[in-house]
Amino acid sequence: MEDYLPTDAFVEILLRLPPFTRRRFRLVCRRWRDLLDERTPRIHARVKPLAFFTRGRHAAQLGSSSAYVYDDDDLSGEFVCCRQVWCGGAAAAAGLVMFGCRNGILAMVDDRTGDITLANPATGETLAVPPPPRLPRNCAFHRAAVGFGYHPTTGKYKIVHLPPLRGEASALGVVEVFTLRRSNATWREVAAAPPPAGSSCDVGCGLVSVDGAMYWIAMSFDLEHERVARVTSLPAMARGKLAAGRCCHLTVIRRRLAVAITASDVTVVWVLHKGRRKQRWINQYRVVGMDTYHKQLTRPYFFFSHGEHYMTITWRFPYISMRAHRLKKGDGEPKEMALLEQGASIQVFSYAETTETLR
Amino acid sequence: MASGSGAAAAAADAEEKESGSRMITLTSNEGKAFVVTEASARQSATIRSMVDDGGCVDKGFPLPNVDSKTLARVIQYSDEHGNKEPHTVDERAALAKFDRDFIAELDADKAFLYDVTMAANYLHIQGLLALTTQCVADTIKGKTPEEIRTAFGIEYDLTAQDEKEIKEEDTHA
Repeated sequence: MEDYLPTDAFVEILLRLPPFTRRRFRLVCRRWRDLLDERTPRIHARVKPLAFFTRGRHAAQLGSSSAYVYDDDDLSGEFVCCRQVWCGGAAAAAGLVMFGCRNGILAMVDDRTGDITLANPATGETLAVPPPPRLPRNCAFHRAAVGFGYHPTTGKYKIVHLPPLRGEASALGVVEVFTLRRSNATWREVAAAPPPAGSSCDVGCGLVSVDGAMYWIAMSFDLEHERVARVTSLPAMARGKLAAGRCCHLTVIRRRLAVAITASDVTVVWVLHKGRRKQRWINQYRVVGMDTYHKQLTRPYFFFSHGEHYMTITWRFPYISMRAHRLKKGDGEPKEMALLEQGASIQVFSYAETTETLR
Repeated sequence: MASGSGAAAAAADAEEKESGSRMITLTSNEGKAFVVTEASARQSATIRSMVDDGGCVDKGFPLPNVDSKTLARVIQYSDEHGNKEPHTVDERAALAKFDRDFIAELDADKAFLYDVTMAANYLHIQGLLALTTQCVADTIKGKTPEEIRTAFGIEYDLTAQDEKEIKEEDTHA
């Protein structure tokens, strides 16, 4: 086709592809790459914080789950503006929690029924996905074991579920996978070799997707070849804290896997750097003034505006407040971004508006 | 659409010029002449500018890049869009249905679809170009780069370094 059509007509076709497909097709050949670079616009979507509020289940707390995007460049500015991008239906959405956000697509699961909803607020498209077959019903604490991932070079979106582990990491023999945009898409089971002895496996710290893989502690799942592998061991300090089990969570910082570990009032953030031959955890940030019980970094994402701001959640009866702080000290009081009643929960993701389709 | 010599009486010609319903002759690269209304021909920005420049309306327009089969199909589109101005909801719906049927038929014959795309590009018929390029884009958007190369017989000529750079740039949050 492309040597058959004149360049102008071919460019017309490239311009009509969804933006992320265009990025992916740069891998076809040189001519495609050059035309895509020179003749089609780049993705300009800026990454913004998206907060997902799950209201409590008590009758007194009205309203349903909803998502808000903070558009301001300066999160600690005078006025922090946000807009609602998504709102669950009245009663049905009470137990809805968000478990992932890639390329502006929100992935949510009802923690009572296991029903999964995907939505792109920019286009208004939604897609209902059946519950993973092995997901235990009515087990809210298992919700961290679902992840939503994107593989940039193949353009595939996958939902990954790790069935309960029966207490033992070595029991992880299977991973459930659902691929979007397939005709007759269903959940598939992928056999996972048990992790080597001595490696830790803990889904309680969350599942995050970055760079074509899904990560949990301390494993990864390649979204293209569907293989489970072990991630370079966590820093010694993290392993110690993991045993304590409370305040460690996985996140993504500047497109790299990172883990935040809180000990007494200091949170240390380790970032995974990939060298030519091996991967290495680097201790990159320290955030002071945390408190494992009353004040924590938002989960799973907390770093925004190129690392200039971080976001926290504070519990002070009867309210929960979400705030933005500057990483550099001496820049005034943190600004309150949201105030909710106790019983609600807040999750924060990074959101880049796109017109990606779900089907 | 009608084919013929296009030689009309001068009086009738002048009258048609007044009412804006002149007839224009388009000639395919095989020498076949197609007589269309000016409104239909004006769907093409290329012809429109030639007509407005006071060009060779009487002599007709030779189209050396378009064969008869393709030109007939392009004129089918231009007639539908040029000769009728949709005013009501029903008329607009009918036109949308025409577009859907038109592209569904083309989609079945990819080589012909590319011919029509090329002609729409050369003649600058924006609506037709949008229709055909969207159709091609919809066909390829679900494919992986590998599948694209197989489907179009493209040779992989990126170096390992190129590929690494693309993948690194591609890690969008």
